[in-house]
Amino acid sequence: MSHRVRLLVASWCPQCPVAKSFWRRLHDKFGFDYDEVDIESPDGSLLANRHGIRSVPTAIVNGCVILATQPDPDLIAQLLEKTTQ
Amino acid sequence: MSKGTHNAAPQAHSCCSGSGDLKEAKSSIYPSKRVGNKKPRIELLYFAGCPTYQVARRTVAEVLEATGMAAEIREVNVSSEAEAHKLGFIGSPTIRIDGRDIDPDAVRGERFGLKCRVYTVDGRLLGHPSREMVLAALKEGGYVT
Repeated sequence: MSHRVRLLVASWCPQCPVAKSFWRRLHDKFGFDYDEVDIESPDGSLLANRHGIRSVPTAIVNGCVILATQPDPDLIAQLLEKTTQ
Repeated sequence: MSKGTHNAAPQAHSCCSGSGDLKEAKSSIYPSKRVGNKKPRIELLYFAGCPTYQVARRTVAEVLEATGMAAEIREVNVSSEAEAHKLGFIGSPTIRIDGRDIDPDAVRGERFGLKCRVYTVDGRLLGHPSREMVLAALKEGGYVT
């Protein structure tokens, strides 16, 4: 199964660069599909409304919303593992 | 966590821009009127460095000034993930009136943490609430008509 991670961010969010850096490192390591979406863009707005997201940064991993401020790498690995099965 | 409590006179904070904003605020919330002398207890929760916190703070001040209302304002600097969980903090800026979030729908199902909140204002997602949202919460609390 191909994993997909979408990170919802905002240009004015001071926590977002940390989350971006974290997910980019994971992306380099695991090679899943990854993109960063600005919450103020039409696509970002659509994603936020669809998933009921009211804060950034927030990551959507294979359709599941997870908190992305300081994600636990083990949790992410487990999630990726789980959604592969 | 650092807290600051003060009684706000019905005037805008020094961070507010000129009288044009107040005129606009008055115009946007007209014809809302203050009810009685009851003072709302307003909490402003934020994390240091949140770029939209000052906008939210100014918005509250403008609404109070435009309605001629005084309030007890407490500012809470949430400085760790542990504090965020303890306080039920879903992101900065958060405004609570008498303990109730001005956007109660947002709180449901949202996870706690040091994040930036977004508010739906006129169909757009912004990093701060509108005057109308603050006013609606004051109406909900019975402070204005």
